[in-house]
Amino acid sequence: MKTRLESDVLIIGAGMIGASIARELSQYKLQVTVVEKSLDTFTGQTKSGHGFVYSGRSLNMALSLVLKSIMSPGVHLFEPDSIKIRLGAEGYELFEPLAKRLDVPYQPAKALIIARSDEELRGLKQLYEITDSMGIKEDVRWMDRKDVLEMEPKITKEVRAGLYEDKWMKSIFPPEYALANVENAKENGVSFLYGAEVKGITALNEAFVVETEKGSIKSRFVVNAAGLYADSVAEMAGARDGWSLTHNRTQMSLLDKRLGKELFRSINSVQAVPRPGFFEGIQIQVHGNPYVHCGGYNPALHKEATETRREWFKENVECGQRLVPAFSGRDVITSFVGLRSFNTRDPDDHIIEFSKRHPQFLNAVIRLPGFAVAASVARYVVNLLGNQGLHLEENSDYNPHRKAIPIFSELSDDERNALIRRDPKYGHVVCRCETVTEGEIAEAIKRGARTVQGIQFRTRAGMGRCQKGFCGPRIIEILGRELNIPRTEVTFKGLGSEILKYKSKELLS
Amino acid sequence: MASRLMDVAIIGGGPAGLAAAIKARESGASDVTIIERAETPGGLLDQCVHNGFGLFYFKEDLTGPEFAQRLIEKAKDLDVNLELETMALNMTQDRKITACNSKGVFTIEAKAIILAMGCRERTREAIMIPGTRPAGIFTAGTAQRYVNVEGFVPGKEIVILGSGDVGMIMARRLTLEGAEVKAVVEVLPYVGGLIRNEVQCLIDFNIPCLLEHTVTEVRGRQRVEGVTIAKVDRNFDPIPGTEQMLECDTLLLSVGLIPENELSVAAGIELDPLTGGPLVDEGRQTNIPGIFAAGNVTHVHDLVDNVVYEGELAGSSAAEYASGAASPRKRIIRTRPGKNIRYVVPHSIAADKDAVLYLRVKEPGERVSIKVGDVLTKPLRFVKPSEMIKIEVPARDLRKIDERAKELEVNCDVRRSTG
Repeated sequence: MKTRLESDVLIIGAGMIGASIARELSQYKLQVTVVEKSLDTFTGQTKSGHGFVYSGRSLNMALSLVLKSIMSPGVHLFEPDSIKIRLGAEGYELFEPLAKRLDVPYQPAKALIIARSDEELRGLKQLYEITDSMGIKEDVRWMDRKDVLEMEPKITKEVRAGLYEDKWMKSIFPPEYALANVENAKENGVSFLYGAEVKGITALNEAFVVETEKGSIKSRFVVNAAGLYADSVAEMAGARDGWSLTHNRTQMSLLDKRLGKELFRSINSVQAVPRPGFFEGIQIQVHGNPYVHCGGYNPALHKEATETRREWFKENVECGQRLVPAFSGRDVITSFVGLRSFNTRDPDDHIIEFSKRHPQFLNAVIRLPGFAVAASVARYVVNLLGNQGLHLEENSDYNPHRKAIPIFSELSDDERNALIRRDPKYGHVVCRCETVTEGEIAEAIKRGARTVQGIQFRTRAGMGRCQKGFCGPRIIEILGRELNIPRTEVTFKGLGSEILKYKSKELLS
Repeated sequence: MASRLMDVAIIGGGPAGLAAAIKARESGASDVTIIERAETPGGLLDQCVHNGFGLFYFKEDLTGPEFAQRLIEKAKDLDVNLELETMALNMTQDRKITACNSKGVFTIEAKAIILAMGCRERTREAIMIPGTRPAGIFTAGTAQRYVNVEGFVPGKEIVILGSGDVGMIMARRLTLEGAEVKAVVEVLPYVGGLIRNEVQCLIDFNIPCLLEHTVTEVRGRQRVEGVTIAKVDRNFDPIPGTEQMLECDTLLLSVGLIPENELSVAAGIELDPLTGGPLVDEGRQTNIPGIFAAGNVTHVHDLVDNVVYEGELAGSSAAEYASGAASPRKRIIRTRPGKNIRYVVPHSIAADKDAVLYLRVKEPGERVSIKVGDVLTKPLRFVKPSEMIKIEVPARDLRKIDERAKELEVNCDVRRSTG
């Protein structure tokens, strides 16, 4: 089925950045279309990003600057006017009110950075100085060994000193934030086309024709928010302007929720001062699962190089133990590899600009921390579009609010009863590890989940310790029923990932 | 919120829970309720359509569903109350259970609770198999459910990692369904499950079992396209140069079972790190008075017959506790796994009562003696970690233990050749 659509703005990519821009544009009277190659919002970097939103002026940003200074000595450490720092600070200001409007769960992050050697101690002091130039020194507490161990007795006894900050970072579950933007943009009239990989882009006089798997779309403006594939999309339009992307990757291991409470008393993020090309940390996502991430910036040879490696499993466990000796590999419930992208023009900054050749084609090539800057990038992009002649007339029907799917496991018993009275499916627990009900799963499908992974990231069903052992058959059954398709067509993450290939006795005939 | 009072509440309606409920009723408990998550009682027996169940308990060769049906009917005859499609959400030390179903959230206050939640399977993620993350990787028990209950066959070219019982049974089952099982790959130098399953499921069907091998990589982006396997050294690390590629669309895992104790831990019940289950006494009482545990939630069994025996033990203890007639335990002796013993259940016994010890060895052996302290010796021709050993220790033997001794060590010694 090929469609032909006309659009004022076409956004390529429904990840965190594309979704945020779509939502921001949805407050104006515009025809906005988002095309996405996969069947859901969180299949690329949005899925595997770490769960922290931090300010351009924060201890965590200072940490990444220290890492950079170690890797390329002599560079300016804190450049308050760089687009990265500006959007980072503004994005953080925007995050909390936005999260409240969109009903996105978040928690203040209580972050500790520790030093365990002379070298790390020097780095820690440098970090402290950077927080001064950032203007947040008074929010950061220098702690000696005794203070650290008193606050967190399970931290390694090797600790020499630490820095603590709890004002400038929030803990989230990344897919929820992206989805909230998608749902709210949809509610306000944005069209999302999934399974619509871009095949070609033709520039006309005052518009582009974008050919996708789902048909062609003519649009006056195009925003390239294709993440990992931003370079190939720009190339198709002749809008790459000399930059390309490099990628590196890190393997992360997610731990059983129970450990969240066991490892730390009050903090939810511990990292060590990085050494050249090597960082390590244990952090707890908003729903309580700790994860460990460590290692060098390992180059990724291609954009789908997300396979896990044996040596990295080992490395993650060892890093975890160097931070908290009680850390155990036995509690790992899943491991995955996340890719970061850097543009070759200025790996340390974003590219957010119109193409030189096509002034209506805007590249939004965002480096990490993408979740932290998504809201401010969206504003910035809309401003640029306005300046370039996009007519921004406010849509009086615009609804800035969105309600999340109820999270049964986090409700009080009275709230649970009210929900069950409304819909008895909320009384039927499908995923026992995460206590997810059939009501939540059915609602996720109503909101656009088409795959098992889509259910997982919307409801957390199957994300627990048994990894779909018990609820997998039920989720497939519910997907088949609600989508009215045979269970043999239900996929894990899109076409080609069918889970049950044959019916009983089919192989015998 | 509705609250109900009762004598004995049982969490889980599998064989352990059913047997416990039956025995609790027979022992005089008047109001006995099973809380079961699924639509039907019977637990995992429902998907075990093969035979071999009940040889000891019923002295008959039954299928899993037949075995379950006998227990279900008996429980119904005894007016055991079954709360189906009901999930226990929380449990407290003063024996209140919060549960929910499509009618709402409610509380049960029980005089005694029996934990019978069973176990879950170890996953790919838990054993850290590297590679891509496509569809087509299943734990053997989940695959068994798809084939035997839901009516689907996950794929047609299968590799099975781990030679646990469910894995071997599924090797045969999938072969009968027309799939090709290319290999069963086992990291240990011996088969992980029961000998009878090795013979009846692998050898009889010419399915190769590669010992001291493991899967080192999964390939395929959307669906499994193949796995790399390699020989391992003594530390279970793959030996470079021994890799082989096997094309397949499905990888099944039969790499171990873990007692399901999230509710127990949240209630402050102490676990044995060796079994993954609660520390229990000879009546299967946990460290929390009035809360008992039986079956795979306590330690993973290989025969359902033993699960039922254990359920009955917990059922009669719970009924006794609920009646208020339980006599205080006089002299308590802790059991301790010694040489070549992985674990011993129960963890403590009363010196004046008959005791039944369940134990497993760490390493296989031939012509061994299991020595319970110095009061009892049981010679065995073969021992294997996969085959649980059951030893009855009568109270008259326990009385021989030195009065000052607080521990009873169990050892597995190789017998000296007598010529």
